[in-house]
Amino acid sequence: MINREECVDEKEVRVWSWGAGTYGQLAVGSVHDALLPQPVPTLGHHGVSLIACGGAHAAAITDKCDVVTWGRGSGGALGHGDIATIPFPKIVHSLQGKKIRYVAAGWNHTAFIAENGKIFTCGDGAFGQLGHGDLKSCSTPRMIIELSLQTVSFVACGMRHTLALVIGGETSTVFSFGSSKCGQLGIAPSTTNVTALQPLAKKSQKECIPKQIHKLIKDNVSCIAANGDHSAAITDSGSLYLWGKGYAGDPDIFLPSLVAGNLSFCQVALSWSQGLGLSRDGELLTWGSSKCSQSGLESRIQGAVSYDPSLTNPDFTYPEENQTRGIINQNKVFFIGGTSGVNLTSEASSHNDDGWVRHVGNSEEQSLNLSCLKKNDISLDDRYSVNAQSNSARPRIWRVQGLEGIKVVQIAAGAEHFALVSDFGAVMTWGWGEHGQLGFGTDNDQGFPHEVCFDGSPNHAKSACSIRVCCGSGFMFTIKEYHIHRCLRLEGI
Amino acid sequence: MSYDDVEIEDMEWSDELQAYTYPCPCGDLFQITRDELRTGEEIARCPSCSLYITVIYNAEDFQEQMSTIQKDSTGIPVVV
Repeated sequence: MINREECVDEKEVRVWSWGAGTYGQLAVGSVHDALLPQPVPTLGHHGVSLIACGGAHAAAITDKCDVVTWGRGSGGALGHGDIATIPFPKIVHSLQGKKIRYVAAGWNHTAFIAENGKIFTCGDGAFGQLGHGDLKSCSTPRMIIELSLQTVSFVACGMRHTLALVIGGETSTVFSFGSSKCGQLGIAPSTTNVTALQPLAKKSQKECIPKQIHKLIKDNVSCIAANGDHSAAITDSGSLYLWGKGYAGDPDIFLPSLVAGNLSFCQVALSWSQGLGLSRDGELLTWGSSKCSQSGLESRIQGAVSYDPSLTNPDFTYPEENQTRGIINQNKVFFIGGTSGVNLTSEASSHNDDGWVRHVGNSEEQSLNLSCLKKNDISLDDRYSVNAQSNSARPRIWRVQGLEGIKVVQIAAGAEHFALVSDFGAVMTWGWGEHGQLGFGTDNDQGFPHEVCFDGSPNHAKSACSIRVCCGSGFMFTIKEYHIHRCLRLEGI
Repeated sequence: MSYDDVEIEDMEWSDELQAYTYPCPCGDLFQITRDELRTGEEIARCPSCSLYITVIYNAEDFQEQMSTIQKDSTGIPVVV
């Protein structure tokens, strides 16, 4: 009698969705909002590794490198050859066999990258965001001929524009196409290269052929992001460039603009009015301000961040160390040091154990006040000293508060809400919550990141070996991958 | 409070909805009809949520257009 054990390692994928569901974008067959995470077994069975969420549709890559899409089909964004809306995942037949390895979704268009680096797009093309040289919509994914000689690595889709990143050897190239109205293409408005065939495109500020972003030509871009009318790129060295619609009422930025020279970023996620950047130190930074302020979100969101003037103001100088201590002891902030861009008055402030002074005073002038000084350790902030040659269009950078002791490993942004994954496997959300997109069982907004419970337990997350959050405009998905070690005892003679 | 100010030329005409539309953060569309624009309405609402936008347009453009339409449909000139 011999007893032996056969063991196999299996991968199990589980997927949850929640938030706005009017167009079937939650992939569960219904057209209703969901205030709490609900399992999506069909996506689990497909073993999806990546989900790209758009305005009201989404696309996912299966374990066989096929693509499934679902949600609103207007404009042909689902790629099934029609404009039907479907509330459950369906395989895009025309992409079968192409081995798709990356997808991105915009408001109403979708982009796919095949294993060989060819890029395909479908959906609404009214702004040139499909890159096919016209302003036509397309309901079946079509290869972008203009980029057919390139090996595209990543693609990012905004509301009405698209960015494509080509990484080759020691150089990288970022291409952009679609609406250029707010500068989201990162190319200076041209007056010379308009042909007679493109009068309409010129008039309405649309680029329907991929254009190289020359401003980024000397930088090795490794990561791109787009949402709303905003764009961003991160370089190998961790520099962050932003361009597109101005944040918090600032003017639009038409050329990529370097942010806070000495900060080193590894991830960036953009909403329609804010940005979120993850530094290599694990610090979560944000800029812009939410426009869903009728719900009180703006003040609460701003209450959740602290502003370091030296992050973005090249003229800012920190006060002497002893003076700083004096301020902290008095529990007030007074103006010290000279700068033209910072309007400082005496303000009531409080400070907390981590040493950052938090502003609790006049909220209207909040962003202008010296509300954030590092206690006892001025030199720590040398890393934030700003490159003086950078231009002035950059937004103010704030730290997201409420994350003490939490290391962030992934970030995502919807139109007006955000999500992160911590190194302990917690999924946290905050922002606008009217459609339940925060997953807390209510339609309330949330100023600070809070942990989402799956199957009633926040700790459930910790057994998963890989977790990924994906945000659409008003909804989101979470993918958890589990490695299961199964052993079978075999009995024989 | 208005979510955003949007110029009419940035909105898209939808034959299906018979309205000018603009993306709403919830995933649905802000909508405003020609009739509403003709009466001077400047708020475009989203049917799915509480958000709305302020539409920036020249009211005269739509008054002229409407009077043309009424002439065409009835054959009788109508003073608008």
